[in-house]
Amino acid sequence: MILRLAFFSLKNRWLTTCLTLASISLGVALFLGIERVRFGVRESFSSAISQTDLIVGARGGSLPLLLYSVFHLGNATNNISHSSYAHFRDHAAVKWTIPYSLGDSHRGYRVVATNSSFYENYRYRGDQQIQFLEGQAAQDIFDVVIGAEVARKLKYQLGEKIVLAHGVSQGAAIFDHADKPFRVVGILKRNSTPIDRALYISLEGMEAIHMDWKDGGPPDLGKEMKAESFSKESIQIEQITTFLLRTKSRIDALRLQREILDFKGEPMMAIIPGVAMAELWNGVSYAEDSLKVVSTFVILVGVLGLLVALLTSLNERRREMAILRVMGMGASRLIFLVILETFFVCLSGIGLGIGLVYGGLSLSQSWIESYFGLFIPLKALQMSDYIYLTILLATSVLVSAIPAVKAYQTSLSDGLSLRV
Amino acid sequence: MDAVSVQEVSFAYGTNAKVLEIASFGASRGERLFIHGPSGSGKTTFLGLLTGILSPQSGRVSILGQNISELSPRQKDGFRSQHIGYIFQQFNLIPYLSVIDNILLPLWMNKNRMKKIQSKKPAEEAEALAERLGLIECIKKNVLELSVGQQQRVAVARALIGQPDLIIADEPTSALDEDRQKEFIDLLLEKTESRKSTILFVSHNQRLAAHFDRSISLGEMNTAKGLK
Repeated sequence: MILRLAFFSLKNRWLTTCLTLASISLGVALFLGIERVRFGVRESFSSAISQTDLIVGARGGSLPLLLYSVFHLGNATNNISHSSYAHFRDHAAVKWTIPYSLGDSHRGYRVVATNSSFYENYRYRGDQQIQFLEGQAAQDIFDVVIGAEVARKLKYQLGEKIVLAHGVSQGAAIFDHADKPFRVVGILKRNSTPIDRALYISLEGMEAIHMDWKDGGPPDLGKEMKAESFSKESIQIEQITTFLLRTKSRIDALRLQREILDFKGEPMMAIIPGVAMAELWNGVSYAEDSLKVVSTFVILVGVLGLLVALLTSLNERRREMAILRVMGMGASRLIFLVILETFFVCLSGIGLGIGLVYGGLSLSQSWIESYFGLFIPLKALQMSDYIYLTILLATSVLVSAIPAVKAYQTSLSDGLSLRV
Repeated sequence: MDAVSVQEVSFAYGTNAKVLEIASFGASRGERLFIHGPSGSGKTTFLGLLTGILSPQSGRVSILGQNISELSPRQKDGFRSQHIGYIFQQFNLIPYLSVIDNILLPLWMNKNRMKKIQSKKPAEEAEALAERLGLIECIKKNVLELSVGQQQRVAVARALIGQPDLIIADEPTSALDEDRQKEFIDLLLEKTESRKSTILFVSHNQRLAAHFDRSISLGEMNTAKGLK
């Protein structure tokens, strides 16, 4: 019966009810949305690379190594020799390796020289392999495979001839490799990892475009080696920048890391991607914290909106409250009525908000992935979400006790004189 | 045992001067009493005391032998909803409830009052009342769709349901023209005839006193000086 009263009373004030409902559900949706995005960012960050046990490069900081090898950010200070790489490639404990040779770019996108092992062995987001949208892997010296983002932004098609720039630059390069253009032979499927934003050539290609360079500068005019004069077999790979490594048994990873660090040939280091990533994530966690603060405030605003709506509606309900009092409705029931209404509104607001987030996400998931390169998984509500939502519900019920008690007091002082 | 007994009661709002001071007032069971209460005579305060919404600073208010000052707020609410039917000056129906839900309101508030109904179901009781008051055809309607006369009758039905022992009517006819006033009082008296309810009918219009067993002037009874 009190339910019926609450229901009709809410229905009577349907506009206020709807607006309150909207503000609560938007708050919840925003909160959950931010949580999902936060989670998605973290996921896409940490799932950019998987199944790799060690990343090996010249000795330096572990974060720079992680950044330039996986995220194509920053530069390596030093290369490692191909012979050192070969030593570990052929090591008994190693299952596979993926060599990277870095340093060039194309219109702001990094160029990664690698070999067929990359297409076979690279894994991201658990067990996802690199897939082609069109074409195939780079086989010839002057073949290039482009990431999905590169293809979309620069509108490249298969067969297009492109010129790589020497060094990493955003716009026009100081030096470029105009004499040795590359042909697009493959376009990768979008996978929302840094791979989307890179171009892939063969190690031989990287070697070839720099073969006639001397002391870090381009060859003198007229002394360029002709592109046609190269054959894949004739090129000796001298050095690479970094390589990814997978051990046959993961137990060996730590031992191998030690071994690489102690390698006599040249100063090298190896990092465990997961460990380095956790370190990096902790370093930028204040960004995550600020998102958390924002979502907490969003919720707070929702609750405040609820309180405002309740308090404003109180005045228009004075008469009604006084009638109910004279009819013999006790203090506890009157307060219970107001709290019950809040509970109703809040609960349906939460339900609506959850629906909004999941409905919205399932509709826009692929759109978000293709435009922002951010894959937001449709994950079930987490424990922390439940805790937050319960706190929200409890807070609004507690907060609604203020207008409820106020309603009771007004009805007391109003007594029989319904001057309203 | 009197239906209503007021002895040596005085009341003031906060620390202000006394607005009500009554030496003695009583109504016996089944009595239909007219109380003449022009504005400024302490009428609202008096009714507040009778219904237990206000508590006197001194003295004793007994309804049906129960000193209501002794009750806790919760008990007062329960007592009021069980024993008193109240008709407001402007009828004061809950605007978002239908006619039948408005009539049923007092039963919802109190289980004991629910027990006193004659029919098996509350809805049947309300329908029977509506039938007798000529409201049956608009029972599902929203109260705001009704005419003033119909709203009045809904207010009567709400006061009568569950046979309360005491019915208090506070200026229920002030919004009506003279013909309608008489009609309303006749209806009220007729419907309570068989139930032996005590009626306190408060109005500033002394001409209505003729319809009742006895007439009292609140202005004469109230000796407080704090009034305007």
